[in-house]
Amino acid sequence: MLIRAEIASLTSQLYPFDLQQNSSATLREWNVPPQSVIQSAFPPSTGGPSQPIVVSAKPLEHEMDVRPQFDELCKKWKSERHATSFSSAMAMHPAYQRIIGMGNKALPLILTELQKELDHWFWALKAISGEDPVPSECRGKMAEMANAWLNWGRARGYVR
Amino acid sequence: MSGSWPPEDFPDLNESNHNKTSEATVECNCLSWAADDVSRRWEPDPMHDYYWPPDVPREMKMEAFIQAYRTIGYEVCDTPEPQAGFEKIALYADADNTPTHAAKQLPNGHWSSKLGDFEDIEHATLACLEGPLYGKSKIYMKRRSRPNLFTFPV
Repeated sequence: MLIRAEIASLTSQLYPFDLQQNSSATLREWNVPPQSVIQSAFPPSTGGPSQPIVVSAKPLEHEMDVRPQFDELCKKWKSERHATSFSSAMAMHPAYQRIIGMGNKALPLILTELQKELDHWFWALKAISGEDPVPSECRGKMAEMANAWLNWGRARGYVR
Repeated sequence: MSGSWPPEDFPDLNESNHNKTSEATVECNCLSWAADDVSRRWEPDPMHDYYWPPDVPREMKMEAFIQAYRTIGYEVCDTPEPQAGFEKIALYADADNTPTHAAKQLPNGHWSSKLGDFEDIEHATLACLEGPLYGKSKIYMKRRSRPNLFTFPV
């Protein structure tokens, strides 16, 4: 799930200094899952919140708009694939690189695509998230790798 | 052309020199296909996503590929010609000697290849797949044929 924390009213509590000017700040850049407990870096004595804040997130409209771009890049990547056996070659395709460049916004879209069809999304998932939920014994087993990533995505609210 | 791969990848492949032998799948690749390990993909990818034999360098270098197939009993040999009692594989490489593909020899002397994520085919010669994508077949390896466990003497 692409996220926008509904924190306009909370921003001043969380970020009492320079960031409080940014009332539309999103937490996406910090890779915060949709339901998160935010612990302010600022103690109450310096103006921070007295309690950790539970953030309820929902997609931003402009974040939903990345779907057409993703679909176009995905289609291009798949249609221009050569008969190579190497994921490293496939991942170098400009369309695939642009998908990686979309960052966290691409995660739910990639995972949804992976749910529909097994494909070489693992490079992008790992590059964007910096994580690797695939057990070593599953290396190369596409279905098992996909399941590991989908479970990872479900735990973070990126995919159902 | 019987498959769904881009025709420009294999300019010398035509209706008379190959047959499609199974449908496209991403579950294995040419390296695992040649190794008779269709349960997973083999690749020395830098992200460590795919299987690569333990203790073999994860490098797109011919020596690493040779080492990978040594782990399952293959040794480098001189020719791709069929040899009684042995099974053979061929490794393709581009002009820089970077590995591009692996094929395995069939009992009839033809070759079997998984074409990336596309179909696998039986092809009459190694030259059928030579071209802009796979380069040329450069290294041949062999191992003793394994007994067919499903054949019993009558």
